Amino acid sequence: MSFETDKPVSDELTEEQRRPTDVANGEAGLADLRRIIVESESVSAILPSAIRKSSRRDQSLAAATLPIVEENIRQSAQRNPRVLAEAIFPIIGPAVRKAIAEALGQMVQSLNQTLDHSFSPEGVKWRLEAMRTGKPFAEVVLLHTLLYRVEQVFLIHKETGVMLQHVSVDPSAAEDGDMVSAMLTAIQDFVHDSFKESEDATLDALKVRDLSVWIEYGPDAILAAVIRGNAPLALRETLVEAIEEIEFDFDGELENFRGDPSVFEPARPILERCLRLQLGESAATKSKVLTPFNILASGLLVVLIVAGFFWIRDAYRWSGFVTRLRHEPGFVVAESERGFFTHSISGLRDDLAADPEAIRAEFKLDSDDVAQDWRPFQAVIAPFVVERAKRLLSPPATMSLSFADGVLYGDGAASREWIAEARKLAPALNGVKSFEIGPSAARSAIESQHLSFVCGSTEFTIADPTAMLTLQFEDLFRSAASAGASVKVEIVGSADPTGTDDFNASISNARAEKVKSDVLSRSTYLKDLAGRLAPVGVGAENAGSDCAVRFRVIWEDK
Amino acid sequence: MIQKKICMLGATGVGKTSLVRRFVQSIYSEKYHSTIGVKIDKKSVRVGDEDVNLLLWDLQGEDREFKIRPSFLRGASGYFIVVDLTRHETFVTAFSIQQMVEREVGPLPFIVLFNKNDLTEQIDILPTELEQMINFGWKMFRTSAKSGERVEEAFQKLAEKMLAADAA
Repeated sequence: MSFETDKPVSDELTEEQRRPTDVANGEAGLADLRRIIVESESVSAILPSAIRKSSRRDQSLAAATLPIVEENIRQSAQRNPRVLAEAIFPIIGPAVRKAIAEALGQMVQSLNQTLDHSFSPEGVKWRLEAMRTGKPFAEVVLLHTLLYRVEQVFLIHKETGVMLQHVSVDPSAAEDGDMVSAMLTAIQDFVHDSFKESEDATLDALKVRDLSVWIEYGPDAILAAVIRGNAPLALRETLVEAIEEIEFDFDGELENFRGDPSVFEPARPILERCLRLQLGESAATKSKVLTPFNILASGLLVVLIVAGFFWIRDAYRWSGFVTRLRHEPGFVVAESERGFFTHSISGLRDDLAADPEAIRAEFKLDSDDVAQDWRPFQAVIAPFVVERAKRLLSPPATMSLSFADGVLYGDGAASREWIAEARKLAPALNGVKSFEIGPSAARSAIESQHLSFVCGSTEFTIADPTAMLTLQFEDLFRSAASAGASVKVEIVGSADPTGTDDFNASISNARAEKVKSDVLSRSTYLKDLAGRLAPVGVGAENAGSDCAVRFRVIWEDK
Repeated sequence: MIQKKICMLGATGVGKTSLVRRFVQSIYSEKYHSTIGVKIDKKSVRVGDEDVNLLLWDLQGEDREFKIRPSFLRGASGYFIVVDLTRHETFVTAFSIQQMVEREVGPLPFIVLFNKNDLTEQIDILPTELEQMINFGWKMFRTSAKSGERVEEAFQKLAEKMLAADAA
């Protein structure tokens, strides 16, 4: 069947109407009219299929009808806008609702954060920052508090719940994407069924503490982003763009999905764009560590730390040095001063004391840094006094010296002459008032005494031999007293065997008594100790006995 | 790897979860835990020279108070209907479930599993009734989640049926 398309139907009718109205003409007109009706019916039958074929072949029909459609819409909007508004409301309504909801959500979110931080110390700091920079306070708050990371993104086939692709910040930490995707779909279905919401109502987010899952839906696919932290609602836009792009690029693959997700491999870059990291204040400042100011400050800090270390170490050494000298025998520290670079110390030093330079070296102080001024003096301390006494008195090897409370003690064996000399010289030593001999020296001095008498009489063979003996007795008793010992001296008189025994007994006893009385008469100190002197006459009992008096010291430690 | 969603359907307490555990983890426990909502597991099988990842949606069993949620069936490539051989009423439920699935998502490959085949003394379904099912052209297996009898085989068979349906 064919028909003339270049001859408008309305024109033919007008032409027919202009013809004369005779019968012949009338029949012809009727035939034409019938033809037109039949043809228009044929056109209406083939028109839909013709349009379908044309649109499949190319875009020429769409291009041809575009001005007409545009004009129709324009005229319809002018004549009665209500009709058009009602027609597109189902599309515009949800879109507007969604846009308003997101805008409100963003506003509320920022308001909440603003209020949260208004009265905290950080809030005050941020308020100052807002005043300084001229930015709105809310903006400053948002700038500091937003900290989130999109850790994983799942692309899920909407109908089957099968995971099509999965990207993650840390691939090793990724969950089992297949099961996560299926479960997300199940939750979505469950919520949908349970609350009997309309078909376009969807589960937008899941939240567990600081982990949230944001879900965006396309017609055939779902995008689920796992977010840690506090993400801005603006992130939704990114997700929406991503799902739109995927829906556009993979339209056919999504519609004909038969379970093979490998065809969605090229969508990974789109998903990876959604993996984002927004740093908060603390993290952001980390990137600003290497500012010139920080480098200078760090350098200064290092210098201060090093200088501080040396200063403290030096102070510690100096204090140890001064303390040591204060306790060192033979030193009297009068003044010590610690300067920044050099230190000084002054006082008195015995020439027998340790070498101060050696002590300084021991404390690892530099000789250039330490000025020392020591004036000589003689320290009255036992080791030094004894040392000086040794130098002065040159005691025999058998004699040992000691010093206490101003008294120089000599103990051991020494000649009477040396002891007499020591008694004279010792007080010349600084700090020494007197020289006394010790117990054993005193004992041996007395026991070595042997006073000879003229035989048959109580007369000494030499003049006045008891003067030295008296001093020796005093020494003995004094040293015994200071040693806390009890001492007794037997004065043993004897006779030669020439006389009778009775005579010998009597004269030997008389000789002992004479020595005792002579000694006591010479010393008031010894008078109080008279009981300790025991005169005994032994006659001529002992072999080789002679006309003399000897002594035996009986020493008893208490 | 091809991904296929499989639903485990059946009356409550027939052993759907036990079959999944036997298949996925090769374990069986006498303890009974009722599934609430859905539990999802996965295991891959090899069909011909192709690996297929089975996503197993173990749905809450159907009873008088609870009916299976059709939305959970969406996108499934196949399903099992599990019947408890020792409870006749679960056999009846199997028919209604099959009809519901056909109505909601259309014809899909499926297999009926007559579970608890180890409890031979307590079997409550007559051989003639089983034959009736065979006459419908339904594929079926007598399984035991406890002993593992024919469990692997059933999953393998369903995977094959699903791939064959795709190819058709």
